[in-house]
Amino acid sequence: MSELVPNLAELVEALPPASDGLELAAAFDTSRVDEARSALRAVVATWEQPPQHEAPAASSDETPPEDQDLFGGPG
Amino acid sequence: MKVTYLEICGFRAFGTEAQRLDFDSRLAVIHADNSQGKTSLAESVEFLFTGATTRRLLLGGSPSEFEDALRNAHLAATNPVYVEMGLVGEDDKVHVVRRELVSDYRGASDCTSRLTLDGSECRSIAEVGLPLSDPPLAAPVLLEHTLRYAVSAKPGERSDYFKALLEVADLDIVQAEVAALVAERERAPRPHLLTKLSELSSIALFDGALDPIRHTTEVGIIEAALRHACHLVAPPIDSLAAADEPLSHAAGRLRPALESRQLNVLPVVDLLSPSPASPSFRFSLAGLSQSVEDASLEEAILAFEGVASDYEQRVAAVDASTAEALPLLRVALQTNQVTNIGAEHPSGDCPLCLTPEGLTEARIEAIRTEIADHQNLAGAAGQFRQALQGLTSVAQGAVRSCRLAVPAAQRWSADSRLTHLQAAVRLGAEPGQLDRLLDDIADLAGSLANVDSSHGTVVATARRLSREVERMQPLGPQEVDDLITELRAVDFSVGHFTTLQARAAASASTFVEIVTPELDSGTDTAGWSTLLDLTDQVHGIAEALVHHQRRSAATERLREAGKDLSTAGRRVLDQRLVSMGEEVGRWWDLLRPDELTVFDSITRKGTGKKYLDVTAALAPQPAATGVVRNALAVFSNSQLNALGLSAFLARCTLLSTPIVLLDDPVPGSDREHRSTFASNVVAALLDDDRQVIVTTHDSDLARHLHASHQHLGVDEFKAVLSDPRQGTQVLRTGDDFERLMLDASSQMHSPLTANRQAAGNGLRIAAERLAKHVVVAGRRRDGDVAAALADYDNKNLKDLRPLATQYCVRSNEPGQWTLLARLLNDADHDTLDPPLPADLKNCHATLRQLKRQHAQADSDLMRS
Repeated sequence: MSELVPNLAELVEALPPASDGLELAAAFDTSRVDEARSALRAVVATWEQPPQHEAPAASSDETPPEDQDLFGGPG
Repeated sequence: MKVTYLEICGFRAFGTEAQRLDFDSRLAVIHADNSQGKTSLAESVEFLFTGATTRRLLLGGSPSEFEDALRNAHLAATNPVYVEMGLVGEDDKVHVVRRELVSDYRGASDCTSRLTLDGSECRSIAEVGLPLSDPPLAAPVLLEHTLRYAVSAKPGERSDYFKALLEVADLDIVQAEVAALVAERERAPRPHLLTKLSELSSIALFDGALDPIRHTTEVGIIEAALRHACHLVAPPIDSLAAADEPLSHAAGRLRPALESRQLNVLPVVDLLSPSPASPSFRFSLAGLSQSVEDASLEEAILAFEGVASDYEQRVAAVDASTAEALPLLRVALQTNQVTNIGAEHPSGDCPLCLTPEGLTEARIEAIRTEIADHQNLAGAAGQFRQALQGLTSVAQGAVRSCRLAVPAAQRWSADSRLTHLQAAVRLGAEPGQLDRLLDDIADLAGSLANVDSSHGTVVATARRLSREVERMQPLGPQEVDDLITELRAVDFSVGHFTTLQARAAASASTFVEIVTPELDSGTDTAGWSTLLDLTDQVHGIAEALVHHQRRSAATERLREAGKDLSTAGRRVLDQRLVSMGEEVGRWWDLLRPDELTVFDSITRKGTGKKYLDVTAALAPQPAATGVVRNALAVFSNSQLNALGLSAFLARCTLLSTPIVLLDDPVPGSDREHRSTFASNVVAALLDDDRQVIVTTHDSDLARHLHASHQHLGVDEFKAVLSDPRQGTQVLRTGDDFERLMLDASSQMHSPLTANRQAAGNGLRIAAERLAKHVVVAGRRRDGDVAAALADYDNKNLKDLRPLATQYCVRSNEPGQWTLLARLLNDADHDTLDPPLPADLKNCHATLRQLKRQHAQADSDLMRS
C-alpha cells in the first residue's frame, strides 16, 4: 500500500486498463511527495522520447497533427 | 484490541499525581461537573493518539493563542507530562503506549512529543494497530468543539471534513501534483528559436511565408519557407534564379541590404562579433606521444619537452662521436700510404675519401653529418620541427579566431561614435548604454593587442628554434623553456580575450534587442535581422520544432491522463460517499428513530473537489417518501448535533476503530435523545465489539448509560478538581464503596449538621458495604463458593462488625471495626448529633486503610 496515497489501489481499479493514468498513478507508490514528483516527471520524460526506430536526427518522421501550430502553441 | 487502563499526568487540568483509570468493561463512563477536567481527559487521549490537539487547529485564531496549552499551568517545568494507555492486543499481552510532552506549543511552533510502545520509540500510534483518520480529526475522539465542526464550518471546510472522514483526501494529492505538472509545463518558455519564429510570423509580411513551418519539422520545408521570407524583402532577382537560390545566398543578399538601411541610422551589425571567438587550445599529439588527438596545452608541452630532450641528447651524442673521430683521422692522414695516395690525386683531395682539401671545417662538418646520419639526429630534428609547428599553428588558429571576433565598431571614428550615441538614445537605449558597450569593445581590441604581442614573441622564438634544428645544431640555452612560457602567455591572453568578448557580446545582444524595434520601424526592416539570424540556424529550428512537438504531445497526454485520474478519483469518492451515507443513516436511525425529518445522503457537488451536499428527507407522515432538501438548511440545532455525531460514528465504523471516546456526545439541551443514545447507539457500538469511553457532565446521561448496560458491567468514574495545583482527581465510582467515600469526603468537613449527618450516613453504609465484602471474600477463600452479599441484606454495622473481625488481616483491625461501629452508628439517628468532623475524618481514613489492607490480601475483594 502506498504510504503517500493509501487509496491508490482503489484509484487504480477505477482507471481504464493500460491507460496513461495507470502509469502516472504508479508514480505515487511511495511515502514522499518529492519522490512522487520525480517519478511523475520521469514518466512524462519517457513520453517525450522519440519512437524506438527513429534516429535522434533533427527532423522527425512523426507527423504533427494538421491543426497543430508547432511554434505558436503553448509549451 | 482493548484498553485496560489510561494514566494521565500533568496534562492540562491533571496534576503531578498520575491519575489512573482501570477499565474492566467495554464501556466506561466518566462523569464530572463542568470545569472538573473532563475535556482535559478526552483531549489527553487525542494527544496520545496524534501528539496534538484539534482545539488549536479548529478553534485557534492565531497559533500563539495556544502557547503552553498542554502542560498544567501550575506545574513546574521539570514535572513530566504524559498520557499512557495499556492495550491488550491479539497476543493477549498488555502493551504500554505512552506519549510524553517534550515541548509545549510555543508561538507558531507546534508542540513536540515522544511516543513509545513498551518503552521503544515509535513514529505513529498506527504502528500499534490503532487506525488514524486524516487530519484534522485524526483520533477517534469526539470532542464538543468537533461535534458541530462538520456542520458549522464553511462549505469548503465541511467538504474537507467529510473527505477526511471518508479517507479520500489523499487522492487530491494525485490530482494536484498532476495539475501542477501540467501548469508548470505550460508555463515553461518555448525554445528561443521558436520564440523568434513566432515573433517573425507576427509580422504580417512574413506570416504567409512561414506558415508551412507551423505544421512540419522537415529541414527542406523550413529552408524553403525562410528563403521565401528572404525573397520578400531582399533586392529582387530573376524569378527563375530565385527558385533555385540556396538559402545562404538569399540571406547573403538580404544582409547588405539590411546593413545599408541601418547604416544611416545605427549600424548595429558593427556592434556584434562577426564571428564569436572560439579559440581552441587543443592539440594533436599524433606521432609525438600516445596518439592523443585532443590534448590540452600542458599535455602538448609535456610531449614537446620530450621531443626536445630527445633531439638535444642526439646532438650531444653526435658531437661526442665527431670529437672522438677527429684525432684518428688526423693520424691516418699522416701515414705514408695515405700520403702516397696523394700523388695519384693531384687535385689535393683527401686521400681517404677523395673529398677536396684535408680536415677543414667543412670537412669536419661533413664527417659530423655522416655521423649524425648514423645517430638518426635528422629524424629527431624532424620530430622536433613537427612538434614545434603543431604548437605554433594551434596558437596561430586561436589568435586568428580572436581577431575575427572584434566587432567593427572599434574602428568607428570619433564623429561616428558621437552620432551613433545620439541615435541609440533616440532608438530607446539608455543614455550611456552604447557608450559602455563601445568601451567594452575598446577593451576587447586592447586585449587583442596583448594576444598579438604574446603571439609575436612565440613566432620569433619558434623561428629561431626551427632554424637551429634545421641545421641540426644544439638548441640555445633556455630557448625551449622560453617558448613554453610564451605559449602559456598566449593561452592566458586568449582566455582573457574570450572573457571580455563574452561580456561584450552579452551587452551587444541586450542593446540590439532594445533598439531593434525602433530601428526596424525607422528603417522599414522589421524582422529582417531576426530572419537573418534564423537563416543561420535551420537545423537548430528543426531540432527545436521536433523537441517542442514531442513536449507538447507529452503535455497533452499528461493533461488527458490527469482527466482520467480525476474521473477515477470521483468514482472512488462516490463509492465512499455511498458507504458513508449508509453508515451515517444507520447511526442517525439509531439516535433518532421514528422521526419524519431524517438524514438522506451525502453527495458530491460537481466534481466534489470543493463541495459536498448533505441532504435531508422531510416526510409528511411515517413511511412516506420525503422531500429532499439541504440538511443544513432544514435541520434544527439538535438534528445538526445528531448529524455530526452520526458522521463521526460512521467514520469510526468505516475505519474499524476499536476504541471510541465521546466527550458529551448529547448536548444538555437534547435531553430526549439521551436514552436513544445510551441504549441504541452505545449498544450498537458495543455490539460491533468497540470499546466505548464516554465523558459527560450530564448525570442523567451517566445514569442512562449505567442502567442500559449494567448487565455488561460499566466502569464508572467521577472527575473532581478541588485544588487546581493538585489537579483533577479521577475516582472509580462504579462500586458503591468508592462513590460513598467520595460523597462523604465532600461533606464531612462541613459546619452544617445536615451535611455531616449525610457524610456520617455515607461512611456507615460504606463500612457496611466493606464489611460484607470482607466476610463474603473470606468465606469464599474458606471454600464456601455460594457465599454472596445478599446473605447479609438488612444487616447493620453492629451485626457485621463481629463477622468481619473473623477475617482480620492486621492485629489492630478489631479495634478499627469497633471504632467505626461506635462512631458511625450514631449517624444513623436523626435525633442525635452527627459525629464531629475530626471523627468523620478518622473514620474515612480508617475505612480507606481497611480496604487497602484487604485488597492487598485479596485482589477480588470488591468483585464478589
